[in-house]
Amino acid sequence: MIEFLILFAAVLVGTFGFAVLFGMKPKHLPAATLLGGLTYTVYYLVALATPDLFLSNFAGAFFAGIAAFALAVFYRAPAVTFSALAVIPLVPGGALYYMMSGLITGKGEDFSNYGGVALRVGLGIAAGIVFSSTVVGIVRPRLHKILTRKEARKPEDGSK
Amino acid sequence: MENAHNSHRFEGESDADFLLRTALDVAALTLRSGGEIHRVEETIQRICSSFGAAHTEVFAIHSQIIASVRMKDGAYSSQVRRIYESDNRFARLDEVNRISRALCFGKMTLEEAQDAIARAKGITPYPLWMILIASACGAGGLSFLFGAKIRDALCAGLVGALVTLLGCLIPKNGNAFLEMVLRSFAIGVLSRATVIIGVGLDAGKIIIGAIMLLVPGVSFGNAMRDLLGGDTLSGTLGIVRSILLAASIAFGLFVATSVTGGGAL
Repeated sequence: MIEFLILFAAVLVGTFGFAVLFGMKPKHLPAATLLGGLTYTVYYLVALATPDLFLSNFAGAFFAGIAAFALAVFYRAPAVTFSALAVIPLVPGGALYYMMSGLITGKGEDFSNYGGVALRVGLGIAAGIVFSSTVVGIVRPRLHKILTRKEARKPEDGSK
Repeated sequence: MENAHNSHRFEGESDADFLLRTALDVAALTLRSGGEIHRVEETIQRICSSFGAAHTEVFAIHSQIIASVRMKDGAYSSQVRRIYESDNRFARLDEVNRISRALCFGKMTLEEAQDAIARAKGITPYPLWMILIASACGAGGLSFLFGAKIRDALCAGLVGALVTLLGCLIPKNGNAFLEMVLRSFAIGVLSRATVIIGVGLDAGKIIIGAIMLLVPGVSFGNAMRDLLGGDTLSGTLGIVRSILLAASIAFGLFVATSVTGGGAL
């Protein structure tokens, strides 16, 4: 648990840093930072249940995509500004480094092993984001229709 | 649209030309600020439709936008916009999105949009000192995820901030791949230096944290999303660019390894 809390705090610090580097609006910083932490939490919990890297990263990215959409609606901002940041802690920096290190030092086995890990993680993140935007694409028009209908039913004086 | 000649228009520019130019200005700034391809294409479609276009065609990739519009009176315009550089600048993307929305809902004229676009281009939400601290946070914080100890995380943060400062000194119109080689070389050398002077413990962990600032993770993710979402060409180009950038990082680290004697890696 302590190990997770340290990682969670590190993710918050890291995501905050990237949010500033990506020039995010100051008022969006707390939500974007927290979303990075929660995305990592989802990834961490799924990774505890299954060793499959694709699945754990898919779950994290899917959560990031759905939550980014909710934040985008709330802040009336593009969802990509939240989702791109939220998946930063999932980016396989370590695997990419060891893959490149294998390439440099001529260790072909390292290159292929870590390259495979990076590819699986990358595919998991991309699939999670694409799947979440597909779900949002299906749900959004229906949600809009329900909200518009509710709006139309409201009495003209605005009382609920 | 009636006032055909004002300070925002070029000599002899028709309504269709001005509409498409403004839509392209909004779309180009969206792309330069880290917006997705589908957002760029939708932006042009929606702005043109809301200003009375009968038919709009758009094709966008990360380096170019091609669009044509036919108005209900038969007037026609076709324009191309070349995009030379793009970066993640989300406050600016947010502002461009607001301009696009205002145009689509009739809350802004094309002339007002031109002024708003000019203002949006200058948006820089944070000063340099804050960007340097953010680089340190990004590199140091994420290095923990790859097993760094506290001393290595602090070194990764320091190296990250120095390399961001180096990036600010490199001219922006230079070659992106060469810039990546220089920055990854600096990461390799500085990380090794922290270990040599006895501050850092593991140069590899420091490098992993610091190169997170360079790894084209977001552009790779966007490219994969474009590819899986049906924008095959822009997705493929994005993936190729990400791979070349990653190879540039590898090359910079390779040179740093050679210079520092190879022990770091």
